Order: sequence, then C-alpha cells, then structure tokens
Amino acid sequence: MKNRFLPLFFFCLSLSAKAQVFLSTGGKCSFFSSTPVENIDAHSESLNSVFNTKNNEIQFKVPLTSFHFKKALMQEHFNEKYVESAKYPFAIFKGKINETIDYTKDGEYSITATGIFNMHNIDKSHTEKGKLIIKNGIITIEGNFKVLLKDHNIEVPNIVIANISEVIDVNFTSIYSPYQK
Amino acid sequence: MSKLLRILMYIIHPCFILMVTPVFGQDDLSALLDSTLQTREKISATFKSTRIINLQSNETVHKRTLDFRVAHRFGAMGKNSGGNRHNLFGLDESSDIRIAFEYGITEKFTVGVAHHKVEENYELLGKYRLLEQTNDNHVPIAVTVFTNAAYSDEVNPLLNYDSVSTSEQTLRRLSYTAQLIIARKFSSRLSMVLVPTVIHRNFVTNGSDENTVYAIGIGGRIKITHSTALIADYMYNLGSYRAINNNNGYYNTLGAGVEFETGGHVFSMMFTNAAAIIESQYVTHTMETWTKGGFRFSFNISRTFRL
Repeated sequence: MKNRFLPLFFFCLSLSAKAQVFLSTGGKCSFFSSTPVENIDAHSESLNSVFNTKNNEIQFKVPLTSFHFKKALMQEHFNEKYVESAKYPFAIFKGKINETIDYTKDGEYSITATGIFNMHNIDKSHTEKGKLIIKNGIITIEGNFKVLLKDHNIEVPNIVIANISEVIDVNFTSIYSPYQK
Repeated sequence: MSKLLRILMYIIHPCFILMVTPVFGQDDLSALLDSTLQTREKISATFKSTRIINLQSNETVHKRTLDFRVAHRFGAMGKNSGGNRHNLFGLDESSDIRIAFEYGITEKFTVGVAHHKVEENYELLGKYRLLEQTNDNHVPIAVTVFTNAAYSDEVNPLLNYDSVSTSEQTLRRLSYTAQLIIARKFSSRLSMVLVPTVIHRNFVTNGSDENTVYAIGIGGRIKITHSTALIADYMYNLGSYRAINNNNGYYNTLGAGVEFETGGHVFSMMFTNAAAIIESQYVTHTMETWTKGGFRFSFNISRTFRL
C-alpha cells in the first residue's frame, strides 16, 4: 500500500509545483517608421509580459516613455504630441495564443495570438504571428506586427506628414521564466 | 483498507492541485504584470523652449543639440511711449535684438554665447538642471539654475568719469545674473515657473542706484493644441530703488503672447513692456509701462539642430 501511495503523492506534488505562470521583464521592443524622407526608430527595454501556460492567456505592457529615440526632440514630440503618454502611459496587449503547445518539450513553434491591442486609449483587435521557442524550460516569444496610426487616433501634423509613416512596424522579444510567488 | 485509501486519494488529489495552483485569470495576469512595472518617470517638456517671454523656463537644450535663437523687441506701440504711424507703431524700430547659440553638452547642462544690441552686450551663459519633476510627485517640482555674465562693448564715457585705470574700466563693463528656476508642470496643459533672481552690475551710472538687484519672476503657459500655447510672464523687482511708488522711472516687466511649435522650431510672438532681452537690462532698466502704451511687439525664434 505504502509503495503505491508514495509515487502518486510525489506525482501530485510535482504537478502542483509545476509553474503555469511565466513572467518576462525587461523585454525588448522597438518600432520603425520608414518614409523616403526619414527613417525613425525607437527602442525600449521595458517590455513586460505574463503568460499562463495552462490556458494560453498572454499579456504585454510597455511604458511609452521608455522608448528611446536618436533625437531627443523626437522623443519629446512622441510623448507630448502623438501618444500623449502622460494621459495614456502604456501600450498593452491582452490575448491568447491559439495553438496548443506542449510547454514541457523543447522546440520552436510558429504561433498566432489573438487579442486586443490598446494604445492612446483605443482598443484594436489583432491576430498576429509569432515564434515561441522553448529551451531548457526557458520560453522566448518573438513577434512583429504593424500598427496603423489612424487606428489609434494619432494625428500627424501636415508639416511632418512626409517624415512619419502611417504604418509603424513593431518588433518585440520577451524571455520568460517561471513565476513563483 | 487499501481500497478505501485509494478512493480517498482520488478525492484528495484534485483538491490538492486546486489548492496549490489556483486558477489564474486575465485579471490576475494584469495585476501581476502591473506589479512588475516601474511607473516613476521624469516629467519632460514642461515648456517647449528654454525661454517663456522674458523669463527663463526650466528647460535646457537637449544633449548634442544646438539651439540657434533670435529674439527681437520692436519699438513701443502706444502714442505716449513714442509709437505712431510714422514708425508703424514701433515696428520700424528695434529696441533690442539678441542672436544666440546655445548648446546642450548633456541633457542637463547647456552653455551659450549671445550678442545683444542693447549696450552691445556679449553674453556667456550656463544653465543646469538640478532637479526634475516626477510623474508620481516623488519630486513635485523641477529646479534649474541659470547664470550669465555680460560684457558691454559700448562706447561709454561715463565709465571713466572718475579717471580710473583701463582695467578698472573694463571691469565696469561686466554684469552678472543668477536665477533659480522653480517649475511645475501641473498638467499636460498648464506649466508654471517661479524665478528668484539676483543681478549684479559692476557699474551703475546713477550713484544712488543699487549695484545688486533682487527680483522674482512668475510665468507660465497654457497649451491650446499640441503645438500652440498661450504664454505670459512677469518680473517683479524687490529692491526699494525700483519700487513702483518710488517714481525713479523703473517698471516691472509683463509679457503675454502665443507660442507655436513646428518640428524643430519654436516661434513666440508677444507683447511686452521690456525693451531689452538680457536679464541685467530688462529687469533693471525697463522704463516703459503698459498703462502708457509702452508695450511692444516682440518675438523669440528658436531653431534646434542636432549635431
């Protein structure tokens, strides 16, 4: 009896100790606007994300003031005039990974995620492709998607309309480790 | 017995898992995510430019950026202060012109050189951010220190009224300003400054005048759109010599106008009774008053170049 009970007990323990929530802080996020006149890029290393392997729910959040531009004046205009980061400080994605993945196995998986992207106080639903890599229990998610300025009610003044693209390319990488309380 | 235990275990097992690994919903994820975010940020763009009208703002020039500035004060508009249609209400005259190059050595430290029409002053300036306001009010105000020294190249026989040495005369050409610019961005629209000021002039032409003058400025801006703002500032003299009821002919300065920003330019167009632009002149030597039509059309232009 004892022999039969113990393995089951440990199996039970191991199940409960198995993390289901993964956390990523300091992820990289960048965006690009390219026009014949000017290329603009900005980078942040403050992308945070949480991810529940049990139900595939995933969230990303990045403070807009954390984006660094080559020109300080551009950064100032980005925050003051375009995204209004004092009023709307974050870009947020809340959604779900659509594929069923065995998170215990190492490998590289093409994934899609569906959810709501919120910026400048406007929700926009997205389904975007990405890549999920599992290596020695560490999960990495990479992706890129496009954001239309007009979707988020961001107006570009006529005087700089040639310098700023209507479509912004966004790239990100988050590296997750199991979250323990 | 063993059967009973096994049944018990099957009941306990799921409970056990539920107990240790509670269901984690989107709201729990959000809460966890928020707990990881650093939300304290420095407030930026309290003002669009390093100056409001006559007053300094707390802003400095960005790192490795050159701010080329041209400021102009026309002649007084009102009849009692000399404005009439023969000088197009002051627009045909220029009471002061300042041309300046100001450069951001770091995000916090700016140096600059300028030339002024008034007294042919050559100005050297330095500006340093001591404190920056944060969005969580951990630091509720921004503090910047401004200082300049000016050398007047003007031909002035009075400098030698008591037959002193040439080196003494050269020293008499110098004047200095030190200001503490205390600013707060109350909202994305409203920013204000308080500017305690000390001015020292090595030489004053009137013997009863004060060499060191204390004053306090107050100013602000209200944004109307992302690129347009209303601006105003006032400089109040604290010394008795320049007190309004002392009737020595000196007035405090008041300016009001609009500011437009387009890319790397900031244009300010305003009216002020200050005839000069440099602190050691406009604070101490404003001889015209709004009530007698002594206000003039003025502009400040700033163009920044990233070097």
